Amino acid sequence: MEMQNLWPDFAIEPTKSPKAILKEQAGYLMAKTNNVLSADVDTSTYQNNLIHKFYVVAPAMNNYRFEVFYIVHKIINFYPLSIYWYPEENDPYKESIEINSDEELINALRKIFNAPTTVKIISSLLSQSLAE
Amino acid sequence: MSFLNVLFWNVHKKDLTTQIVNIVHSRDIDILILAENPVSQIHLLQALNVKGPYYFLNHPLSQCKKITILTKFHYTSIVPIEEGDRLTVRHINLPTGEDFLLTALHMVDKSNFNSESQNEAASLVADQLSKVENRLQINRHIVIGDFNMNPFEIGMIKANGFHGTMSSEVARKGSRMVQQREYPYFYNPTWSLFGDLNKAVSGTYYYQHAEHVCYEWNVFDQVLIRPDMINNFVKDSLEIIQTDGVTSLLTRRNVPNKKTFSDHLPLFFRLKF
Repeated sequence: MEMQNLWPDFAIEPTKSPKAILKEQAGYLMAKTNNVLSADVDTSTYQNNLIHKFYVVAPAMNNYRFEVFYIVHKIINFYPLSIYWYPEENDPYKESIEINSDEELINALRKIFNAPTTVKIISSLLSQSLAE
Repeated sequence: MSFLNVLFWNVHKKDLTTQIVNIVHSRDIDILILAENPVSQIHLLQALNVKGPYYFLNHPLSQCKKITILTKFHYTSIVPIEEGDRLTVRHINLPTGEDFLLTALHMVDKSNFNSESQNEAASLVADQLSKVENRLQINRHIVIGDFNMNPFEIGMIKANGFHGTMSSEVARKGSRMVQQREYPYFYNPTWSLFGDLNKAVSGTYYYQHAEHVCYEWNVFDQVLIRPDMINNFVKDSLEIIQTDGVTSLLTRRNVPNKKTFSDHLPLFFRLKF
């Protein structure tokens, strides 16, 4: 008897993974700073979760890295995911934002990247790197 | 042989410049690490340097606002490697040619995070520190700070947390295998700071609350030492500071005088090279 393929057809997720979105934004930071700064996404697992930490990196400053925020989602599902970050300087509570789609993720990233705290850190690293 | 005197203090968002200066001068501190310091570094530096320009500013590259580090050596010898809003990892290069990593941190607190969240935060930070060690190929590492956990709590002892042991002999084994994965130890000497046998206080932080289980005294302020640096740690130097040398930091009931000073007591230790 001829063996049949017993596997079903698999649906391929049309959306990008959160990590792919973060990596894409990491690349955009390089472009925005004329490659003076870069960004890195570091992934680890904890229990049944994937954790992606987003770092800004200053290659001219001995590859100094600053963790801006991190996101957590289940290994088998991209959404819902949570973003953890400090919205303001000296804010004692880490804000956790629940995200249910890639569109919501992009909006949240826009908010984080444009937050005064983030802009201040990047400006400081940029000027110190350029002074090297 | 040379020595490095290290002081960590969570100053509870209070201007404790006078007390800091008194301790730093009376203990001849080389590395001063402050958490929740509201005072500008310049103001602090001026107060510290009244007898001469002995202390240097926090490294200007540092973006970690929760931790301030002032040193008796220039900041170019204590370079930030990796930071977040709650921790700073520094690479210290001593004039003797020796180097090591020093991480100062302030972990999430019990009033805003439950024990499971603290446990998870411990795993994330421990993993981050391990990755930094691997990236720099340096396993000489000291971690100090306000962990907001006691040395016996899960996040402090579990293999995929800080993996801190109370025994330097156990830590000297280097690491432990758990389910085919190797986890390096930290030696946590702060286990020995519980109780009042040789001192007036039983921990670094006092908190009384109306629950059936209440330790009242806690040792949230801790130092963790990787096995390769145990020989640099002067064991009998580890001390909870109870006075700034002029004024007691305690109330008449021998608990931290949080009204006037901080709710945490400073932690002191010495390294030898």
